Amino acid sequence: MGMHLPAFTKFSRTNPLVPGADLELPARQLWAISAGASLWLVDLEPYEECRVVGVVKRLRVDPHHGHIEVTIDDGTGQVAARWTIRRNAPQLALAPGTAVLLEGLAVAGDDGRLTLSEPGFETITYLSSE
Amino acid sequence: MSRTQLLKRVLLGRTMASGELEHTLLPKVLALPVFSSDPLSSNAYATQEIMLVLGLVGTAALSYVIPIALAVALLLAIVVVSYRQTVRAYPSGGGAYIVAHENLGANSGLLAAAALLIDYVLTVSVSITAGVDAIVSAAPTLAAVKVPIAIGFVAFVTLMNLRGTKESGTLFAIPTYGFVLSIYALLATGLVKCVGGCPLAESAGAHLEPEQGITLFLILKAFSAGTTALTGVEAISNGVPAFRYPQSKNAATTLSMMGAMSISMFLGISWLANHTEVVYTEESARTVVAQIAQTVFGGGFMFYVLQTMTAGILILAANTAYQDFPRLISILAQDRFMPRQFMNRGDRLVFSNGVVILALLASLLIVVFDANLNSLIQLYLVGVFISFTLSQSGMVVHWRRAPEPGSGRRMFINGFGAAVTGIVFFVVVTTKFLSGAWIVVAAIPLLIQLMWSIHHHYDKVAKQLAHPDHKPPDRRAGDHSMVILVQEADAAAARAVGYVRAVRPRQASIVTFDNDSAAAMRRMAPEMSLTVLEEDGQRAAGIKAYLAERGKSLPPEHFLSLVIPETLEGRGLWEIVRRPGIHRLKASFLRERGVQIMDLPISRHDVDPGRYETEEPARNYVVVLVSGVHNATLQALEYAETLTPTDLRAVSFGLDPAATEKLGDDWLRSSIPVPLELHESPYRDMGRSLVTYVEQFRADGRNRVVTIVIPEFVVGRLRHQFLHGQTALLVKRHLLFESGVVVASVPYHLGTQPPD
Repeated sequence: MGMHLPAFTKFSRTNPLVPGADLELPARQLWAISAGASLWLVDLEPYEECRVVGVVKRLRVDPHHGHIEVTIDDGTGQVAARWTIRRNAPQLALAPGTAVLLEGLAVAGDDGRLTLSEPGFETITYLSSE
Repeated sequence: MSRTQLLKRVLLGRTMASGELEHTLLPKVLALPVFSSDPLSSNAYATQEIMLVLGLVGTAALSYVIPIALAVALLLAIVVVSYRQTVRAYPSGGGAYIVAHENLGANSGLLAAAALLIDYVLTVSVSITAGVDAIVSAAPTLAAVKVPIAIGFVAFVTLMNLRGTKESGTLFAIPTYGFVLSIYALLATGLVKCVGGCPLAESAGAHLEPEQGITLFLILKAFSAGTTALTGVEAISNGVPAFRYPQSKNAATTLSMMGAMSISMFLGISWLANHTEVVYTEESARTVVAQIAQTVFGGGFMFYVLQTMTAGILILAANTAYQDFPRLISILAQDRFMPRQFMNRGDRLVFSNGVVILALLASLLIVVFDANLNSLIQLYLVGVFISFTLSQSGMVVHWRRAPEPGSGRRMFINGFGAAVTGIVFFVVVTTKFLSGAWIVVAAIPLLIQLMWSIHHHYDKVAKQLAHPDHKPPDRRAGDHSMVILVQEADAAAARAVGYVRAVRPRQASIVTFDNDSAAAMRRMAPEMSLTVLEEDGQRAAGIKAYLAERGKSLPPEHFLSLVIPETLEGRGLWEIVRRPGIHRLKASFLRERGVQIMDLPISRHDVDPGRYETEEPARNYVVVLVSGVHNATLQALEYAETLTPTDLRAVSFGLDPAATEKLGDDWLRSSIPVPLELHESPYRDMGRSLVTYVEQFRADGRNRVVTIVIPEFVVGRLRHQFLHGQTALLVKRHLLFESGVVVASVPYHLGTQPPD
């Protein structure tokens, strides 16, 4: 089980994606990259295979439509991930506040938002900046 | 930020997010003062307590102080070695309660818990009173206001602890390390001066008249007085989760450091007291340590440093209890032996309710005993030795059940420790019983009884909530009758009419006490039946009688809602305080069987005073607050379904990962067709989280409304009210000022709910 994150703190660091650029970056964004994300959520495009990292903000269980959905946030943006409910529903371990790595294809959902459909997932540990 | 919020922020600091918990963990250097100020500070008076008893036999008996001190030091070493094993075996915090509960059974666990809870309260009262005594000795004019000063210190330590563990650790480090260093300076200087013959104390040579001969009982009494040096040793074993990682290793090291410091200081003070020939009686103006310091330092600068540090550590020794009492009571609450409110962490991630209740109980003791240290100290120690004995006995069973390399040796160490502390317990009770220990001996079973009755209540509630016979009947849309309680035919009443029309209940009616309002309401809602009740001073009784009559004519599966429109003049707490009548009225209806209460508030600033809008809102988003899948939740969901919702969902805030998984799992298992959303509540304030959540619906009260449905437990007995959280009340307070939000309370009567 991933650990809960500390508050959203900001500190000044060099942007790891743009060598030499000195930007004020939220700790969570730096952590997302260090934890293995291929991009930040703000840069996510439809029909793109991606590996993203974030903190679960919401877990939605919808038995009527037969799916479980989580919304994650990496400090730059949010994305939803959706799975069909199967036996044991392992996605229920993704409690709000849990850090998670998702890997899959981003598609535009019914409401126009980008959604990762049936992505692989893994709970991870927050790498503290301290 | 309101004024109350601002005051809280200044006193306690900013609210901390749950994720910051890890950042409040203590390094060893801070953990030592936080958890050891109690055992370390008792060195300020442990030798003196032994000498006070020995003095009864005359000056010659004072030579026994060294062998008795050696025996106490040996006991302390045994307990420290024994507890190091507990700390390693129970990394998540192995207080006597947990160890005894797991290995010896629930009753032993509760015995340990009751003993510890009482002792923690006494630790606060005794150490603060001792500290105040030290101040009063320096300034005798303050003797008349000892009680208020002591209460003031309790308040100060409470406030420091409400700010959080780490902050209080930094503050407490100064007097604790200051005290330890001053004592070591005293011992070192004393030893140097003793080369070639110790200087003599001012009281040396004073003659004490023997009041009785030396007896075994007296020696044992002196020994039990000296065992005060052991109080608080268990604090570290309770507090393992507050240590930095690796927690067990750090806690065990801190325990050893504390043991080594305590033993060396205690033996050193006893040795110097003996060799400087200090004589101490109750009439002595100076404590034993002060007399030694006077002799060794000659009353210079270091004398005053030591005295200041002693007063400081004595007052702050109460902190050990502030660390452990709230933690223990929260564990008891998790096991449903204490009210569940003790499980909540406050704004600064401290178990604030436990901190506050400890402060209140300790203050009560100080007042009752008139801040008299000699009376209070007689109650002390009984609980300490009960918990030592049970904890170590539990460890013996632990090693037997889970053998591992070296467990035979460990079992022996814990068994030996248990036997020794068990014997000391009988010595303490026997020698102190008549002087006050009987109060604790009597209070412990009463506390155990209380904890069991709380447990039985929660068990009964859990069974009722899960029992199929108590499951609510199935309802369909329209199985609902609504009554609007009109106090004045105003904009709020008009909105209520619009809301009720949107819900499309089977029956809709209006009830009022005022003929003018009745006439206006007839024009506003001609399709609704209208009743004007007699105004005879008892409005609530009149409405209840009316509802009871209505209830009789409805089929059992029908819901009957009382809709209460109200117009708010302003925002904030004042608006609630200003009109206590309406809140009492709503609370009293909640206890009526078969009636649901809907609160429909509007702000005067949001409406056009000349225009009453009775049109139906086009969208009604219905949100049901849930904490688990049980009969009260099912009833609330069925109620929500009868509200003709545009969108219906269940939400939960701030559950921990295990509870989230369980709720999700139960939800799927119960085949509830409603979607369930689980959200974070990083500041553990459900009211604030819900207000943020509701913003997404952009409710305006005219076209879009949000109905929050809250399942509420109504208990049969008033005293049981304290056992259930006041979450519903807090949530309602926050939502009262949100525009376009209707709050529906769906009471679930506990204890006597008839099977449907």
